[in-house]
Amino acid sequence: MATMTMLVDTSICIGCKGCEVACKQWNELPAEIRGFSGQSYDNTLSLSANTWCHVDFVEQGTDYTQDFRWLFVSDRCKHCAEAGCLEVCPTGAIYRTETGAVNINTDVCNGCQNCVSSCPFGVVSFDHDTGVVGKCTLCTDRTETLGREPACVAACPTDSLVWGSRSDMLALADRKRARIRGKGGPARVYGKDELGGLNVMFVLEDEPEVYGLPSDPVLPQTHVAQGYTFTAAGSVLLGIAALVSLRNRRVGAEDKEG
Amino acid sequence: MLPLQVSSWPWYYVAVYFFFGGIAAGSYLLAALTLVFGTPTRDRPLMRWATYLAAILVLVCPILLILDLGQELRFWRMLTQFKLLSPVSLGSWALLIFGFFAVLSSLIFLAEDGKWKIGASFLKRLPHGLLMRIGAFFGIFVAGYTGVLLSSTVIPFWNSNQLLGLTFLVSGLSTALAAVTLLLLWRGYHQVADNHNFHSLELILLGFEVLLVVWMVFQEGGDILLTSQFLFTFVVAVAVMGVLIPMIMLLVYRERAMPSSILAIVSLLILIGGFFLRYSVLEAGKASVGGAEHAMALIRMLIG
Repeated sequence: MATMTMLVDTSICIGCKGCEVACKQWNELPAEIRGFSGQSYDNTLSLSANTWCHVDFVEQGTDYTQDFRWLFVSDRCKHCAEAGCLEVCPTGAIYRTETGAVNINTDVCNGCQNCVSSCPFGVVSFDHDTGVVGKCTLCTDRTETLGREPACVAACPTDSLVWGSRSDMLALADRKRARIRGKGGPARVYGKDELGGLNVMFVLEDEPEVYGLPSDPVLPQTHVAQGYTFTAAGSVLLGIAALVSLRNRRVGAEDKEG
Repeated sequence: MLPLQVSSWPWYYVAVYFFFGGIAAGSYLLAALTLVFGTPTRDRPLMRWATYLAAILVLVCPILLILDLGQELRFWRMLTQFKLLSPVSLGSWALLIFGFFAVLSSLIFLAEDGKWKIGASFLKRLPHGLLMRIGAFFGIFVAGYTGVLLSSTVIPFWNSNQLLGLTFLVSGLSTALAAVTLLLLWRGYHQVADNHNFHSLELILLGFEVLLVVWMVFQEGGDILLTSQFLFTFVVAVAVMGVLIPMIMLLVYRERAMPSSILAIVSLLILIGGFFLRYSVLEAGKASVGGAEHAMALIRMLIG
């Protein structure tokens, strides 16, 4: 099966949160009572183990009458080609599907939470009630089994969310960027090369950080070899320290015996 | 600040595991170092008790690790994978193998002393020196991998410091020496415990630790350790009680015998410092990420 990708065009998202609702509905995720946030028109605020899709509301400017704009982005797991969560999962519960999605087998996950701290996007979340982690599956049950598009994509009324083969989505993203730039606005495609390519790509109208996306996400496991090397080099130093301090004793003991 | 999330590892499992695992690995390493560089015949009680301590603690460690899981009964899933890039995966295997060596060494010591009868003649025939050398290698891994685990996450305070593995290894050996010293004093081996060469080893280890801890404070997010939030757990417990006072005491008694009471206090302080070092590193990492919700709120503030 070809790698499938979701394209999120933030320039035409109207912040209706239809994707959030569709995600909850299809995946039978329980509602979360989070209270009144006071942050824009958004009480969800972030993804969680039971909220796999979240429309982020970004308000730019303070004067509502002039120089003010809304930015919306429908956010979810990016299904990275180089996925920190997948690399680090010690049980093999996190796996890659035929279409490139990164999924969690919750019957295998033992809730060690190593993946939570390994996601550069802060997506993978631990559910204290079930004792396992949860996140977006890119609706693999719909896409791979039923041949349909993900629930959020199906619900999107403006086609801000589009689903298709990776090559088609790359071409579409470039066209969208060119169109926005043609109108004089700044635009960039996020997810083309980041972490080997994200299977959820974005057309953004501002810097990635504005949308809560790192501009240069790094696979955390790139540090592993360095960490072990420093530890090994240090253990040689410890050996020398032991040689110096413990060898003295042997000499001292011989002196005393002599 | 980006919406990163940090694992909600409770300190009473994870920091305690880091501490016990460090002592278990460190004491086995101490026994092996004594065997290779020291005077094994004279310091046999130290090697023996260090090995017993390693064996007991290495049996406690998996319990802490299992209790920390969200699904405790699925702990065995860890041992169905072998992933080079996953410190938790390698660490699980290393702990299993190290545990085997620590328990085996203890049984050999017990058999040699006539306190263990089952298979005693077989145990006594085993090449113990070689086994200890191999076991010590896994000990180094067990002591250090927890730091590498933290530094290969996305959490700023942890991943900015690639020396965390080494920091935990040095501290593991230092706390192990302190713990073994306490055990020796308890069992009446004062002369073995009050040995200037082990004191100088401890002094060197604490010296290393000073360098590594100063390095840690100067890494991204490390300044949090100097705030009031970590005043007791880091500044007082780690820097003053765990390092500064023991170093001064060891220097003061460098040329003369150290009374048992002083030696016991120094060892206890080193242990307290070692525990709070783990605690501080764990909690400072968690504090360096305010959680997704806080981060998003901050982004709104910055943009607004």
